Amino acid sequence: MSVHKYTAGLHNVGSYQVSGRPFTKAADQGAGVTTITFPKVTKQIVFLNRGANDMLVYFHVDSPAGNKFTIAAGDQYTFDVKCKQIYTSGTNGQGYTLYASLTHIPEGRMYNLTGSGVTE
Amino acid sequence: MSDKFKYTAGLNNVGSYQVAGSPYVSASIVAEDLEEQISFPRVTDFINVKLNENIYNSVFLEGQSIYYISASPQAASNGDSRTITAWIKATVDNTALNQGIIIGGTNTTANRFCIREKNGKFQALLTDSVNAKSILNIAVPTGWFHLAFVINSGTNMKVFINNVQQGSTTAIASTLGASLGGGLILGPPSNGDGTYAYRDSILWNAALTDSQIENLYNARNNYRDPAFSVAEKLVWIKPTEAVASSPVNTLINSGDPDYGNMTLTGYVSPEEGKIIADSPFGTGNGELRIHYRSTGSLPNVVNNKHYWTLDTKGEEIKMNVKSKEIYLSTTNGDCDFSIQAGLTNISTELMHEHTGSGVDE
Repeated sequence: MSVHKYTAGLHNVGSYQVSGRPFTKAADQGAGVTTITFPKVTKQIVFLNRGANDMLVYFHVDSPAGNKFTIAAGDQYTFDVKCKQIYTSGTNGQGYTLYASLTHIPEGRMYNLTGSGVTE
Repeated sequence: MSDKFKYTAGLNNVGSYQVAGSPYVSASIVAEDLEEQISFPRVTDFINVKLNENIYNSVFLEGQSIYYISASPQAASNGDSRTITAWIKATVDNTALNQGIIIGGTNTTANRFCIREKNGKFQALLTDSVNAKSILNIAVPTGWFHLAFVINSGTNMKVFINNVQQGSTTAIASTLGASLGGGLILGPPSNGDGTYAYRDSILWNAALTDSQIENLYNARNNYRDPAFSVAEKLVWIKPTEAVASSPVNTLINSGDPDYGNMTLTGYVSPEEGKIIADSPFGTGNGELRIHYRSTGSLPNVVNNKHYWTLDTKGEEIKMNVKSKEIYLSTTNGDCDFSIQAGLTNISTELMHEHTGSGVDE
């Protein structure tokens, strides 16, 4: 008999209703695009731009300019979103802080976000 | 079947997070460079942390007459160098003469090493019975400013205001002599007027370099001891530690009843080991860090910056998180915080310690 372990699926409602596991990160934006990968699917992401210039947050590495969310200098924004990665860009060296609530859902269950609002 | 068995909600019981939680509220201060663990009685549904106040370690004097730091300051031998640095806020009277703002020796004695105000301008004076050197006509800034008066004996003397050099001249080697005349005092003479406030005033046993002056100026939001370790402090009104040389810590015992009516603000007690007062410099680098493992046992929390930071008064973060504990640590100053959490009915015994990516890896 094979050993099969059941895990919560991407559409398991309860996974988003229970409170999440924390993921915190304080860092400086690097040159070009920074990728932040989560070990589990998120249910909420809080992003604070600590720099002096705008920062862009988006959900696909090739998101066009129109699908990048701008967070002004000093502003904080909360995304209620399921994803396994986000991408940031901005001025090299400017600081940001990130907090995410993670579900129990393995990141392997999460598909790559594409399409309207993300890549087109 | 035992009737003592009691069913309790599990960690993933959805309903436990959907019903309104019971409140958990706490407020306290985390001292600089320390960490506080907050353990919740039950698993949380959310945690909201707010930074009420950044508090910097500093000391503050204000008033209208002089404050006697020491009646017998360290006398300098021939060829010694000295520096006076201080944060000052001055309201001067343009019609009055010779009002001191920092005086080593008194305003009228022959041997003196002082900064004074005359006709609305600052003057730096270095005199003895033979020689007199001065830097004159220094504009008085408004609000708080950083003043540094450097005597590099036999070489030069300089005055900096807010890290900008105001002038320099050749210093005389023997001027400081065996006697500075009177004591080292802050503020105008008792017969003068004007209002002065001081912070972190130090008489240094050396001529600070330009870069050291810059470091002091840049430390205005963050008075940390390492920034003040470039030379021995002969008289320091921010006594944070015992130093073998004397007279350190003189401020605590040196209020001269014949002169001083300045008030020491924000002083806690000598036993505290540090003087705590609100910084006049607004927002700065005082930082409250929120994390889910202790920085003491797991260096990756700090090394990889797995924390959320609050560094502006009133700033807050609401985290939708289940946890049985949270850690708050500080850097660059004390932080006054308040915390509010919603508690589920889930026992903390069912909650694991957070670990892994985003926590301690």
